[in-house]
Order: sequence, then C-alpha cells, then structure tokens
Amino acid sequence: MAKVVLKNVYKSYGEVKAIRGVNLSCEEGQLLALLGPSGAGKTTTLKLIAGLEKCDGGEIFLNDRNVNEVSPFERNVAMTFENYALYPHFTVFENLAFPLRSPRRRHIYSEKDVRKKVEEIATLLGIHQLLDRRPTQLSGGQRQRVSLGRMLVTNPDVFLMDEPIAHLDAKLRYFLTGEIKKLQKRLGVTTIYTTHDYMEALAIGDRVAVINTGKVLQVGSPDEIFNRPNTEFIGKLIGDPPMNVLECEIVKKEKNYFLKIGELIHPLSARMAEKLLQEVKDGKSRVGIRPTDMQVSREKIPGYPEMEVYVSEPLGDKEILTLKKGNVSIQAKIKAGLESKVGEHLWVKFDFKRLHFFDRETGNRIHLDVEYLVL
Amino acid sequence: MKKITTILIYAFITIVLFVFVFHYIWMVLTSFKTRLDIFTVPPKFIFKPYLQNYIDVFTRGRFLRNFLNSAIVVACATFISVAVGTPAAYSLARFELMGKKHISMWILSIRMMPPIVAVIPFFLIASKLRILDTHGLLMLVYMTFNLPFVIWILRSFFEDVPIELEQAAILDGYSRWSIFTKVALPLVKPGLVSVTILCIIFSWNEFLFANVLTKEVAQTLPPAISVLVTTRTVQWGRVGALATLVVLPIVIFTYFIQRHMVRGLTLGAVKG
Repeated sequence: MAKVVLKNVYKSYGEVKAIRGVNLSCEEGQLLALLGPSGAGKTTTLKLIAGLEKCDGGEIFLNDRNVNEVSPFERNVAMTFENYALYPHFTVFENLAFPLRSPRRRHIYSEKDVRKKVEEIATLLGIHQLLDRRPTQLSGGQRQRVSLGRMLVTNPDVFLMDEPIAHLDAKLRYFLTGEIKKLQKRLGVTTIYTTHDYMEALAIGDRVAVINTGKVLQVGSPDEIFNRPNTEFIGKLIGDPPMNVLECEIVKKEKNYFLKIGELIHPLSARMAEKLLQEVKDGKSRVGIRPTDMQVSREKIPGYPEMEVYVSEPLGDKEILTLKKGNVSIQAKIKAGLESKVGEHLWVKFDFKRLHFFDRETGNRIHLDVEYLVL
Repeated sequence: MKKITTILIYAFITIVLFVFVFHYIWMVLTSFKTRLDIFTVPPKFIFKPYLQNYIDVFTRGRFLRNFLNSAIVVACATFISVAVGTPAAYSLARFELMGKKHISMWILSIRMMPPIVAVIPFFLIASKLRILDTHGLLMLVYMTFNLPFVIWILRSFFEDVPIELEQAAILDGYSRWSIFTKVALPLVKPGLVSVTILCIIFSWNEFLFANVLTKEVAQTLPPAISVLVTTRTVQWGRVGALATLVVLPIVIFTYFIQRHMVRGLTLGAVKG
C-alpha cells in the first residue's frame, strides 16, 4: 500500500508539452480515476509514476519518498496497458509467470512458487482454464483479465491502469467496471485508473481528477465533479448528451429578473440574479444547463418560454429533444411518454438550482454558492 | 466478359512466367546437351540426355573446392551480418541516439553505392594489405553490403513491436539485454528469417567482387563459371551444368523456407 503524490510535474516530448505542472495525490487504498480526452496526458502521467518516463521537472512521491531517481522496478508499482501488452509468443501461464521469473525476483520465487502464485491469480480472475492458450486465441475480455492478472501477480504497492476496459464492448465494460472496483476494494491497493469515459470515471473512482492538455482541471468526488464542474470544459465533458452551454445575460424588467439567452427569456430567482450580478458586473456570462435539469411540458407553464421541437430521438425509457427558439438550440433529456412531434411547441422550465454559470472569457465556474439552497 | 478477362490475365501471366523462367529452362537443357545439340537450329527440346558435362564439372574443374569456399564465405558473412546487425537495428529503433537520423542515413547510403564503385578501392587496399584471394576479405566485402540491409529491414520490424511489451518487462525488473532476447527478438523472428535468406542469396550469387578479389584459394562458384568462358571457346555444356549446380542449392533452400519468407516480408506488424 502506498500514497502517491505528484508535485508540479512537467514532461515534454521534444516540442510537445505533454504534462504541464500536474499536482495530484492519491491516498492509500484509494482509487483515483484520471478522466480526460485522448491526448490529455493521462498515459504519460501513469508512465511518469511508473518510472517508464522521467519527468523534466517536479517531484513524484511514493509513501513520502521522492522516487524521481528510483528505477521502475524498485518503485514496486504494476501497470496495465491500453493494448494489454501481452507477450504474443508466450502462453497465458508464461505471461503471468513472466514478472515472477524476472532476474530481480527469480531468487524469491522458486518454479513451484511461481506455479502456485499464477494458479491462485488465475483462479481469482476466472481464467484458470485458459492457462495453456496464447493471447491471440483469447477474446478481448479474456486478454484484459490476463493483463490484470499480470499486474496482480507481483503484489505491488500501486496499481496503474491505463484505459483497461476502453476497447471492450459496452456490456462487458459495464460488468468489468464493477469487477475491477470490487477487486480493488478487496485488495485495498492504491490505484490510479485512466479513462476517457466519464461514466466509467464516476462509477469507479473514489475521487476523480479531470485532466486536459497536460493540466489537472479539477479533483474531487464524483458528485462534486458532476454537480460543480470547475470549468465549462468539464461541464461539457461529463454527461450525455453534453451540457448545453450558451451565452446569456441577466436582464431586469420591473422588479423581476430574467435570464436572456438569445431570444429565449427565462425567469430567474432574484437571489441568484443578484449574486451573479455581483460577480459579473455587466450581467453577461455563459450558462450551463444539463439536458436532464429541465422540465418540458405540453401544457403551458405560465411565465416560462415556449420552444419548438426540432429533433426528437426516442431512447426507450428516455427521449432526447432538440428544442429551438430563434437561433437558440438546446437539448433536453426527458422521460419517455411525451411523444412529441417535430414542429410542436413545448414549454420549458429550467431547474434553477442546477444552473451552472461560467465566465465568458476564462470558462471558469462562477461560484454562486446558492445552487444547493432552496429558493 | 469475365471469362475474357480471366483468359487475358492467364495469358499475361504465362508470358511473364515464360520470360522469367525461360533462361533457367535453357540453362538446364544446355547442361544435358552434347556440343552438337547445343548449336542445332532450330533448338531441340527433346533429346537423349548427355551426362558428360556434369562428369566434367566434378572431375576436371575445382567444383568442390569452389563450392566449399562459397559455403564458408556465405555462412560466415551472413552469420556475422545478422549477429551484428540485429542489435544495431534494435538500438536504432529504441534508443535516443545523438545524430540517429544521420547514422541511419549513412548506413543506408552504403547500400545505395553501386558495387562497381567500390571494387577498385577494395582491390587496391586488399593488395596493399596482402589479403587478396582470402576468405576473410570476401566475407568483409559481403558484410559491407549485407549489414545496411539487415539493419534497415530489422529496424522497422523492431519499431513494430509495441513499446508497451518492453515497458511491462522493465517494470518487472528485466534488464535491457534480457528484454532484447526474451521479448523483442522472438517477436521479430519472421524478419530475422527474411534477412538471413536474402543475405544468403545475395552473397551466394555475388559475382563482381568474387571475380575481382579472388583467384584460386578463395574463389567461389560464380567466378568459377566465368573461367569456362575463354577467348578461344565457350564450353556451353559445362557452363550450363555448373550454373545449374550453383542455382540448385538456393532453389531448394528457398523452396523449403519460402513460407517463412513471405510471412516475414508481409507480417511486419506484430500485434499484441
């Protein structure tokens, strides 16, 4: 077990700055999910922790010990790779035994110990019957298990998993997310797990770190990441369909405040509007509305805007609507049953408490601290 | 329409095949002909085989000596080229070396040089060093031309081995050398087979250097054929017989190993 800390770590490949000042920490026994689009620097971060790459600047600590100059083997971390990296010329057994037979471990494990250990791990992962096969004869899910097995077999202090289930089909992915989480909790090994899939990250991570262009944008619990995204980028990254983010302005008519999004005029609570006006003097910002955070109704909701159905996509239990008013287009995800028709007019009411505001220039969240208050 | 296309394709293949195979057929036929039959017009395709040419090759020339020379030179030159070239290729594929691009280009440029350009310098240097007509000299020359080839082909094979396979082994405490031998080398086996075969074929068939740099002691088979072409006469029957015997080992060898070779040349990618 170990605590992993990265302090202001930099890494470039030639001209390309892969990691630009990353600060991260993962407590003992915790599962930290690194979430980011491809090319964000996730794999590089893992390779830096593993010692496969050397950082250009900053410090990496394992259990409060600076490991910048420590060899990969001595860091006692194990890593799974996105392409599984199984040795095609070895059988599954040999693949699993390979780490134990290394020159540095050979004196610890006799051939008998190796056999025992490999069989133990194979049984744990349910791949016992595959030991004599070669990787090419395995399905994607089985290969993934073998690669997990090769990570488990050496009893490392830290697991590093690089997109372990990204290339499996959806059903298997769902199943394996649970499996990996269970396994990690059972073994209690500190784990850093990368993914580009927000659902996977939220489902599996004790904590989630969102990373993009080599920088950590936000670290927090899955709940925080989802409900209080730090930037517009994170807001859009998480959720499907993505968050609607639109230019908006606070306007005051008589005593009431309104949120003006193009031609769309939506009432806003006075408390929220005043708070927002304190933060943004001209009242102009960008508003983020999750497609699930709104009410869409055929009956008129007095005072609320009316929008035209542009596209309607039924998804069984849900329905995704693209609604338009003038130049403004938003997506709504609602419970099935409305059976809306294209061209039909519906009334829309946003959930006040769940509106997100972002700065127009920086894209940073404007903290209003009223989101969770009953209005 | 489809039928016509098929016929045309086969006709084309037949012509191409004829062009490529004809001189081999001619060579083999000549080797079994008497002096008289060889010059008959129109040429005879059906005749009583005449074996004296082969008997002459074995009894009157120095066939066995030349054959042995060829075998020694080819085996050593190929072995050393592959043994030295493989680690070199691995280094170029995996390590950040100073001026890596220039080194690669320099190696390739040796291969680009027409051999005839090198013949005279080689001859002069060898004569000053008094190593003309030795096996070692010929091996050295063949290695000069084989090494760049080995390095360039194997480099791309090594580059196709996913780096993660090696990184996984690094994490497990394997040394560079054991990663090279246990992980990388087994995965480029098809490439190794291919370059070995191509080196053997190149060295076995090489004529120019062998002709200029060897005379008696180290003379290989190809120049031995040319000896039969003299200013007074050309002993076509014996030329045919000897040429057939030179080609035969390569044909047999290639036949048995071609499966690996095709795989080696097309299966550059090793998928994890």
